Amino acid sequence: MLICPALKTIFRSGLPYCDNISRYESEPYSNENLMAVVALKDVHKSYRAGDTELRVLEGIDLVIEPGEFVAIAGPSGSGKSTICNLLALLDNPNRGSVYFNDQNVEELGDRELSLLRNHHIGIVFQGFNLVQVLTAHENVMLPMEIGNTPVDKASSEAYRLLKEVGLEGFEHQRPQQLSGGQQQRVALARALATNPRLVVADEPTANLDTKTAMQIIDLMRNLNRDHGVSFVFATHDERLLQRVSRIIRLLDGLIVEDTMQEAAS
Amino acid sequence: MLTWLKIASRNLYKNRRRSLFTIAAIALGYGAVNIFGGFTAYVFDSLKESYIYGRGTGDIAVFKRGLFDQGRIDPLRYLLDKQEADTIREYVEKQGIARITTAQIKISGLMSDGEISTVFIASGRVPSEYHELRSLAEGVISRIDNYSGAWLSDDTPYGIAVSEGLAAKLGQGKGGSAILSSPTIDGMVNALDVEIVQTFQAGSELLNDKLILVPLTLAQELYQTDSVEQINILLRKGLDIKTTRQQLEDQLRAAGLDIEVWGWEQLVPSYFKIKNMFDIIFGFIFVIVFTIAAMSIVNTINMAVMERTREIGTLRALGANRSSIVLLFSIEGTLLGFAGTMGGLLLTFVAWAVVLILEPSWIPPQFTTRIPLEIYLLPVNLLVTGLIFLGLALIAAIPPSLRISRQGIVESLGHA
Ligand SMILES: Nc1ncnc2c1ncn2[C@@H]1O[C@H](COP(=O)(O)OP(=O)(O)O)[C@@H](O)[C@H]1O
Ligand SMILES: [Mg+2]
Repeated sequence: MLICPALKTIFRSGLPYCDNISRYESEPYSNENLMAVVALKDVHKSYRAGDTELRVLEGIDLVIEPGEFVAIAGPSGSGKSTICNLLALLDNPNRGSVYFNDQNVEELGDRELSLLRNHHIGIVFQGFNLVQVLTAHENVMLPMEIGNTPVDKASSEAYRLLKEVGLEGFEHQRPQQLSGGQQQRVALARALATNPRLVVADEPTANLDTKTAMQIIDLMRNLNRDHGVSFVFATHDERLLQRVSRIIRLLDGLIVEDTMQEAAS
Repeated sequence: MLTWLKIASRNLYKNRRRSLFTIAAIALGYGAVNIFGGFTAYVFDSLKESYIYGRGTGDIAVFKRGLFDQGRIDPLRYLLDKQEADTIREYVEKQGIARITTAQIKISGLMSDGEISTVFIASGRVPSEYHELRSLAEGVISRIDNYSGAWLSDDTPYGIAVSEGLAAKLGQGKGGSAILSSPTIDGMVNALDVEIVQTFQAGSELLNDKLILVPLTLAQELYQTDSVEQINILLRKGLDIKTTRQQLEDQLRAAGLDIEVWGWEQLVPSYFKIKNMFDIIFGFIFVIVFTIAAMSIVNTINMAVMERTREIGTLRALGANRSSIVLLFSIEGTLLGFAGTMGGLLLTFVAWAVVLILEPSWIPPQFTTRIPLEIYLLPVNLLVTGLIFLGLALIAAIPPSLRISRQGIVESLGHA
């Protein structure tokens, strides 16, 4: 069950990414579905607090494959959020590289990065982060509208997704009118709106009670299976880990465990 | 774009107290600028009319070259003789540039009723022509009745109009008689019996006990001359004063006349001095009002940006790029600006309508007469200042939103 994490990351990420560009050039029509979704290569991240430098990640190698359902576990302060932000292309590493769809994102400008986030990445927050002045339906439409999807198409897709996450009848409620679990369902529908390759969820259940948390994880699992989207979520709740197929454990800035497992359903 | 409009307008509604405050600031500013601008426009329009039609300068005046320079000391040496005056009139007639052409001569002397003598200054005019000139005024001047009694007539060559102050000094009124005396052109003394047919309020306090109006023939008889001082011309509508003035001067000089032609604004240099002062005051008001409005918008957008930093982080995480964020807040600013200018427009209309209905009147500085107060509606001004306020609202939103859009997404998201 427990595989040496270093070996595994080298096996997964080492070869293709060393000559990323040549691979792209020789196989311009390579099937995107087989490409790794996102990869961190020797990533270091530190924060500066006054004079002291807080080193949070110290050489992380990690590849997320299509369709995976991954949990990032670790105690509070171990760098889970930092990794999530890097995977969702919200932040840059101090050292090392982030590859999305085999492309080094360091080379991308704001416009291209924004497009990448919009088209390929869904994101779910601990605090739901729904736009307060928009209804559930409008919140789900939002990423599609940012991506210039025609309004009627975005609208029907949003209805469909809200139904899928079990919120039929709540479409026109504003976030304050919804419970935490319902809000997180809206956020999940929103994350899936542009049919992304990856959904990153940073402690999506931390603000929810245990029962609701389990429901949300199950919903994520189902969406992962039905949409073929890779899910990465951070959690410090050990009880949620039995539901995932891969566990990555962080400690002191390093991956100390990277395990594949048969997920309980 | 529609999404941003939706988010922007709903957030403005959500913080409606704050939004209303900003809108009110813009509306008051825009309204104040336009009301004040409309009032000044009215003041200067009236002032201009009072010169052209009331004082009777016409649009342009023809006179002997040097009358208002060296001639100031001895204007009698700078008169147009009859032949010159006739040539000028013929010329103007031939050109077809005038609605009215009328001559005048300014005289002065003593007026007495046998016991009291006092100084007068007078304008000698052809009553019918002067009356017609005055009747062509269209603005507020046409509605001022500042005299009582009959208008002078070509048929009563010794009927004169006397300013109220002067009449009071002499203890005379309408129907009274007096003697005008003055030296003639040749230095003799002459005197004429006159009849007071009208008393009037002179526009200015300084003149209200000196000014009289006499028929041109009377003035000429008193001075023993058939010359005139100047010929005033009210141009046909649509003719440009500056070019017509220049053309006429060139042509008359080419015809051998030693004359000058001035526009009305050269004849009353105080007009532009006062106008410049008002323009400066207007400029100050505009800058102050503009600054207050700008500060109010910047402040509102700044607060919105601070409160919604996390929302901005979320939008960015969902794939909105930096310019979209700037767009979002520019829309908010523009909406505020739009509502504000609409409010200001409404204020201006209300002020205009109130003035129209209540017809207030006032006594302008140095005036002796009460005249109606008006506010002009100036479409071009409304449009230009409106666009300036709108542009201001848009531009004021850019610095704060640009700053927040440059901030890291994680940092924005971490914001409470
Ligand atoms: N913007 C930041 N500035 C300074 N320190 C930070 C910042 N973000 C995170 N940290 C620190 O980095 C460490 C890892 O943070 P984080 O990735 O949020 O951990 P986790 O999500 O596992 O709790 C923590 O000690 C945290 O205090
Ligand atoms: Mg965290």
